[in-house]
Amino acid sequence: MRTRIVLIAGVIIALIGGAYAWKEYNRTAKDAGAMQEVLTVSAHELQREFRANEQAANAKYVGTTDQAIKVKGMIRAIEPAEEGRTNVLLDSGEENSAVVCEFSADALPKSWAAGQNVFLKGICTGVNDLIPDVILVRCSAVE
Amino acid sequence: MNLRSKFLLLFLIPLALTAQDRYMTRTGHVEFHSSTPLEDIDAENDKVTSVWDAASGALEFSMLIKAFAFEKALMQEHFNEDYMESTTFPKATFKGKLSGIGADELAKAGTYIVSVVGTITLHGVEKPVKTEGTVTVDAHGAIQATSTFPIRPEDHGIRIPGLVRTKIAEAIEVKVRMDYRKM
Repeated sequence: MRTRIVLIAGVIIALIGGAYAWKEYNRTAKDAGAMQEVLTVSAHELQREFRANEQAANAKYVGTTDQAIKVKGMIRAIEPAEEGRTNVLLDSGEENSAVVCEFSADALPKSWAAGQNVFLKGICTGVNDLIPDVILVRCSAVE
Repeated sequence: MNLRSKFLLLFLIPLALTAQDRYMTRTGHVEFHSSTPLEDIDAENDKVTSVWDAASGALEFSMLIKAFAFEKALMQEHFNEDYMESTTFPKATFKGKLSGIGADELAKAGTYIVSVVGTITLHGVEKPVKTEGTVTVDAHGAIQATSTFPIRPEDHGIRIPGLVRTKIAEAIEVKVRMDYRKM
């Protein structure tokens, strides 16, 4: 009887462990909209901080694991990206760079247009070289 | 034309010619594929910046490691935290030269085989690379450059634990696609 209970308990634990492992293995990366933002910043300030000290800005806005930040800015352009995604370019205060925010096909509000001031959340991945855009991915509009 | 205007022209003409030959993209696409009998791993980054000077052949790329997107979050986390150490090495870059195409070819539609030679810096380790690619000019003058080449993680000091070694290919296939526009 005791062996039977131990066996059943072992099978249940194995099933729960297996289900957790399967779920964890197939987990997809969350959009920023599903995360609580750690900071709020304007697009101009974000660009300025990356320009002033990239290492410090990486530590603050990129972090060691994915974190959402809330950004306020004016839309300079909306451009199509790969696989139905869209890049929203926020004015960075510099002519040759932008804060580039990538939205999935269904995450971008249809009403957004160039010249509009908006709030959004995104996962900051850092500032690029050559064209010093600050890049945010998995973005979500903030109403 | 007075002397002052002539001097101004002498200064401006070379600048204009240089700008005409330079192309850029902020939405270049780089993807990689690892295939083993145990697991296939794919990731892509379409926020790659690149500048190409068609006159001199000088070619540069820059990409943020954290901008690579995977189908599975767990793979993305292991990629950033355990293998690429993207907090310490946030970018990968290429600096080199593209040859086999000139201003004449860029002026007419066609697909041209080109060679690329340069240095890739990945995970803080520089390695020379030599590969072939294509540059396609369409009827509207749009320019697309593509290339496929292998990278060995060990060549760049990327340590892969023995437990998962059989799940990651020894040579990762890297595909590059750049849609350039004039600067």
